[in-house]
Amino acid sequence: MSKLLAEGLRRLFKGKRLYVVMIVFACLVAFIPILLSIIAHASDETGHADEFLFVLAGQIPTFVSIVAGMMICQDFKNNTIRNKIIIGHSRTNIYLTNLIVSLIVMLIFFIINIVVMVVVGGILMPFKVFPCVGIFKKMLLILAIETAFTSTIVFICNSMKSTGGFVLALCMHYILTTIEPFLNFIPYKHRKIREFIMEIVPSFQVTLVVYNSPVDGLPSKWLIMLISCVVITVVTTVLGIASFNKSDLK
Amino acid sequence: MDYILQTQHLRKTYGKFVALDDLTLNIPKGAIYGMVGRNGAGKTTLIRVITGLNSPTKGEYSLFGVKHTDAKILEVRRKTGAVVETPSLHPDMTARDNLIQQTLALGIPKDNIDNILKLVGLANTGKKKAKNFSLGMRQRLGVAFSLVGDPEFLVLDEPINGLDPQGIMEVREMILRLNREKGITILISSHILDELSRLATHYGFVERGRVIKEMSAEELEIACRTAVHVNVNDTNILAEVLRGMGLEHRIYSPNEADIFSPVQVTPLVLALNEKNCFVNSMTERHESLESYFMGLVGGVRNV
Repeated sequence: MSKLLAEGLRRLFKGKRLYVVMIVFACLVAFIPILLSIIAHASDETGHADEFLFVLAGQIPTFVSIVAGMMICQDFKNNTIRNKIIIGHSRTNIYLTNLIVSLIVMLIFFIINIVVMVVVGGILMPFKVFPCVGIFKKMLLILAIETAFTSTIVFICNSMKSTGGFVLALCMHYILTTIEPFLNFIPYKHRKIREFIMEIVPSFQVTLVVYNSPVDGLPSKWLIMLISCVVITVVTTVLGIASFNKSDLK
Repeated sequence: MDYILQTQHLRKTYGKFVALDDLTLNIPKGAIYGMVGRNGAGKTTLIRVITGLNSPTKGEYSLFGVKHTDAKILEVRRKTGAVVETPSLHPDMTARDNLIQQTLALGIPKDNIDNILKLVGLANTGKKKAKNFSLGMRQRLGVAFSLVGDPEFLVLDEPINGLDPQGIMEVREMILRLNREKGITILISSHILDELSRLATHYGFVERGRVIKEMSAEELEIACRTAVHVNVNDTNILAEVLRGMGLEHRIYSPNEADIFSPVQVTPLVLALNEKNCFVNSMTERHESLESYFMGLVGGVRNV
């Protein structure tokens, strides 16, 4: 698998796309504290940089899709995936390599998010509690959510093998957040069901972790959220490998 | 005889469509095996199955003596190279970068890349990206891809598609060189039967998902050689006269026969006339691979 990883990483770092998307993402991240500090100054309030440290957590999967999802889909579109199968690489290893490369992409964007927020936000505004154990715990929970997202992106792109897969992976988070308001139609007596859905779907988890929990603390149902992330990651990977092993390639 | 690839009763279906049906084929080591068949006969499906891109629905095949169900099949695939239909390239990379990707996937040094590029005539493409290559250049890069791992078995699906006459000649020479100098066994499918006849040492004729005939180039040569086709009222008398004249021949029916040796017509006709054997017609014929194939599958369709 190390050979496939070397091939995949070279493909990732050789192209311009990763660097362009990294720059765009870094600018977007920097824009948040700049905008909020302008608003804070205008309203004579004191904003804190750590309050919006993770506000772009829901956008990271979009950028992962643009870089890693598209890379997977192009491998199928250009038929370059054949070159690996013909020389005897197992489909399981190819799938796992795609997952690892995508996780590396996710980590890159996650790190950019934290570093740019801390540096730009820290220059413009004071920190309230950062650095503290609570924020680092939150960071790890968000990392688990991003892993579940990434694993789902790899599953979709690897299963659909087309631009359609890439588009679906790209829109996945936005489709789910569009559905979120409809959860309010679930009757109050079934609120536990609504809460449970919110706790197990990564797109809704982001809302709970970023907006509905203390700056330096985890949401009360963090364990359920963590378990669901692990389950999503494992299930999508196992299903993805099984379907890839059975599928016929062009 | 050692075989690189053997398939037994291979069947591949896509839904209700049967692409391969009870296909049995044997590729001897060191051969250039030409696969001949119409569009949709199952050539590319067979190539997809043996290269691991598709799984057979039924039947089995063995590559280098290892059955496809054996876990070791992945190891022996390392010794194969293939170009399936259109070449599989990274469009945003140069020819060299494309091949570097393959060396990384194979875990081998990059030392041989320049030689391979020279061999396929792409040594001077510099920084030109594969997406800007002509069809012929892409085809050559596809062949280069398949050569990176120094394969013992090369599978080429329509390798001369889109090449100009010069390119066809170069690819032909390259294939012959790889076979003769490096001993690489080559499976090649092509619609250009004339081109195939200049390369192949063995043939497999595929029709409706089955191999309807396998033969060596020598056997084909015999089947296709120049002959005088004779129609007479009694081939028993004809055979007797031909034996007497020491002429090589083959009797097909009570009325038809082929004479393979050079023959003088007048003495033959007179000799037959003496024995009350009358000649109805006499024609010279020479079969090409194409006409032999047409004869096998019965008629001109979309070849």
